[in-house]
Amino acid sequence: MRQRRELTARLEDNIARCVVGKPEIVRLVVVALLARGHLLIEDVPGVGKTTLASALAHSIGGEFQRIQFTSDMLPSDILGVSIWQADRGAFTFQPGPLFANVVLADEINRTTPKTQSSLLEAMNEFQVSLDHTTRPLPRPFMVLATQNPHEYEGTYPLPESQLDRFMLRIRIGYPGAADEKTILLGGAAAPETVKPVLTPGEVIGLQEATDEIRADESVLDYILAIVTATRTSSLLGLGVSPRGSRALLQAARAWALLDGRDYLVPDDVKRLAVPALAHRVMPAVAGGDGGAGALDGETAIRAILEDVPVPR
Amino acid sequence: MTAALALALATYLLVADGIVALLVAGLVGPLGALLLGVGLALTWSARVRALVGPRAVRALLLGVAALALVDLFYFATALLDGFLHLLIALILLRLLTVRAPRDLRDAGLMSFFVLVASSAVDVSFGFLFVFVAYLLGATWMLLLHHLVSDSAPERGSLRLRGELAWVVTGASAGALVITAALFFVIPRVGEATLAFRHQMRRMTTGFSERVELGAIGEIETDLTVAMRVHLPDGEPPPAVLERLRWRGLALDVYNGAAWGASRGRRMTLRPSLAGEVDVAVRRAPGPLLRQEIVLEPIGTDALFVAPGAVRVTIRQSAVITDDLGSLLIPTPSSRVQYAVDSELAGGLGGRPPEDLDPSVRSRYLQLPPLPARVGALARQITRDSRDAYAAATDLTAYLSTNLRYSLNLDHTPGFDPIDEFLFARRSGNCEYFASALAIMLRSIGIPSRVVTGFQRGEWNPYGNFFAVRMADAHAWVEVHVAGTGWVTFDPSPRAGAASSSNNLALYLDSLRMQWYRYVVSWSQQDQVEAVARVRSATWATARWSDAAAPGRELARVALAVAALVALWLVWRLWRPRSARAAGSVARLPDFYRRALRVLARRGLVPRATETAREFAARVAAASADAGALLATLTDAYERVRFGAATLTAADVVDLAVLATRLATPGPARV
Repeated sequence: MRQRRELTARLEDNIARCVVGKPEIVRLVVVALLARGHLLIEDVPGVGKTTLASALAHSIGGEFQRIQFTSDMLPSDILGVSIWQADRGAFTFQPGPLFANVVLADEINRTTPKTQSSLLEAMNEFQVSLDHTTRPLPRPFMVLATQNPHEYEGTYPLPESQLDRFMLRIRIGYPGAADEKTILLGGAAAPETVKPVLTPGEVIGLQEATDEIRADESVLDYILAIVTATRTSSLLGLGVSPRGSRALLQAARAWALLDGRDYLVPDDVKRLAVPALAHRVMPAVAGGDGGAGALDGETAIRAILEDVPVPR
Repeated sequence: MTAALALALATYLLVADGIVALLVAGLVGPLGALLLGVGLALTWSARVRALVGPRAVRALLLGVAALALVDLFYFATALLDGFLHLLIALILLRLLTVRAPRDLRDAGLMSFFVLVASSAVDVSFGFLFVFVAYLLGATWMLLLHHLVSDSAPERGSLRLRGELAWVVTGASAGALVITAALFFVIPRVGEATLAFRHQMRRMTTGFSERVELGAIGEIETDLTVAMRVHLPDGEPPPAVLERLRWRGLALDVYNGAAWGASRGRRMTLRPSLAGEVDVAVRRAPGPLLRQEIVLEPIGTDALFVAPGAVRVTIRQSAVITDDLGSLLIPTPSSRVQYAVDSELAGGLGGRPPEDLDPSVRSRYLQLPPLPARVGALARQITRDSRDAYAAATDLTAYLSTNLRYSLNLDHTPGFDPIDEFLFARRSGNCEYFASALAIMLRSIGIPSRVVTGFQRGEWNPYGNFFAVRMADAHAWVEVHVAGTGWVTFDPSPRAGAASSSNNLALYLDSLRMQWYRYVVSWSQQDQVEAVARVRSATWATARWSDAAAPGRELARVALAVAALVALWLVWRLWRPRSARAAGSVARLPDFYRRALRVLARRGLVPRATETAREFAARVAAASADAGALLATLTDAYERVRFGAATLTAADVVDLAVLATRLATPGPARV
């Protein structure tokens, strides 16, 4: 237990050197890693989305690939392509940038839905099917995607099915004045300069430990109560899928592990509910688009948390 | 040892205690107790339990029910026995099918009913030990059950530590004190309840209205205590001691082989409201000897008293007297307790007794046909005697010096027993001596009668009482002397009761006496008297405070303050129940529940959607001290509740202390 705690603390500290003043965000990133999830970082440009993803990628050893999405990108640019090699008389597969341990999909909503959906299978099944062959992706495998809010010009909003495949969606937000000053003074390390502190094997070990975090039946019931509430709530037009409830449980487990426990408490669930569920729900349209009565997913989830009794 | 094992052990000890209670009460014999013990041991074995599947249990249960019915209607000697058999069978079945700590607890508590049943027939001192053992065991058992069921259900490996023993011992002592207090205060209903079972030890033939010669001899080796005679005024002076005997039945008819009592004038006397009944007229204004007597059920309806009884205090519907001076009670079913006042002077210096009526006199001279040499011997011994008293003295001296005391009573059929005793065997027990004296006196025309009773017994200085054993059973003679009345003569050369008891035995026996006096026969009247004593003491205090007016004023203020404090306490204790959160509190560990209760009293109640940590944070914002304590408690609560952790017994106690400390705002002393 203590050994695990040391490993995760090392990882968190390493990332925090690059991302100043956001320990909670750093922890959520590590949660996604330990829970075998993918992370969607959504915020306005320039708050450190790429820095965060890059810092994580550099902190765990293993291969790191960065894909800058653009509107003219094709699926083969991500997955790879089979090339005819005349000397051998056969096609050989040239793996794309997706074949890495950590993939940073920068500005994912800048590319077309066709290319976005090519990520689907890879994220969900940790494998790529191309030309009637299935090729496994390396382990650990994690996609860190960043996106600008889709109100901005030149973006293709991610479809619901795509969003559902991200375990967590986080928003970084602006740093505090003091932290921003530190950044201006050059107090934040550049992600490229940080050294790996965990081997891929250690990451897999931590992922397996996460699976073993004890979830009391009452906590499972609590998760179910929250999820059921999203499905029946009048605030929401689309509730959380079973994949969403699994993601919440797994993320809460990772949070408990990072907290140094080998069991879940309701607080873990409560803390992870918004990052794990808010991007999976669709608010009911109330009072026209963008009207005063409209809610976003995050507000709806918070309202539900204030409504569901916690287990005692 | 793990708590689960300790719980099982405590339960089995409780059931074993129930079996011992049955043994002590005589409801099962030694063999039965042994069989029950073996059955109990079998249920402990996991292998035996594995043999008994759910279907077998159902079959067993049906079998027990059927057997119980048959038992109740055909075999059991009393209703109580039938129910007891059923109860024991159910306890063993329960132990055989233990699935949860709750089952063990049930079996242990069912054993309590065995104790209750035993207590109905058992008033022996040994029951006290059985009861105290049960109380101790039950405290342990309940506490362990609490510990086991409060910790995680998955793992029963809660370890026990030494401190727990102190806690439990303290709790048991407290329970004992409270029980004792309740015992002396709660109104007695036991006397009104139906006696389920009349259990009377069949006593020998010694004390009935027909006594065969040699009958008392059979019990003269029995060391069972027959009665205890408490003398509130302490040990009597040697002169009194010398003549002290416990007179039972007087017998006046001899048929050549047995003594009997003629059915003369009998009077039924009704005791007054206080239970007092005057059985004779006082002859002299001298001092009275007060005796408080506990008579065991020895199978006689006679009351044993110091000679010269004038007043008996007894809780019975009636006391019967006859003209032989015997005292009888109508329903001698169980232990009898009574007090007697006797005149010691024996009538000397008082009103002279009337002479015997001729018809009565002939009763005391009645004789069956006897060999002539008996009368001849009597006449030869008393040829120089001046009067009846001297003649009786001479005959007594002759018998006690020339014949030997013996319990060897070989009787040749066909021979007159008294003739054989005087001339052939020349040895016998007290009845032979008494009979010989009475018959020889009658043969020379002096009225006499045989009296059965007890020698005075062994003096117990710790409890100021005589312990009279069956072996002290005795027979002697009363001789009517003209102008003096009935005078006691004892011709047996028998030594006084052997006082072989050591101090410890005497002390234990005195405890036993107090057990009878203050526990077994603690009655409603005793309660009334105790209350009266307390009240008179209070009045004395009141008079004292009358004398000092300022003091009384102070007392009033103090009383008012005390009443207010009591009201406030009641309010404080009562309020949290109503202020309790509505949420379900199932499976909440006890220390945390207690913490919530304490905090609720301070107005801090967790909301339904508030997690334990959020609540702890809110409490910390309200009070840093309470926050620190609650943080510790919350951490332990989460470990137990969600982490399935098991706490050590010491931890549980620590946490309970922390929880109560939440009530007192002040620096946390963790």
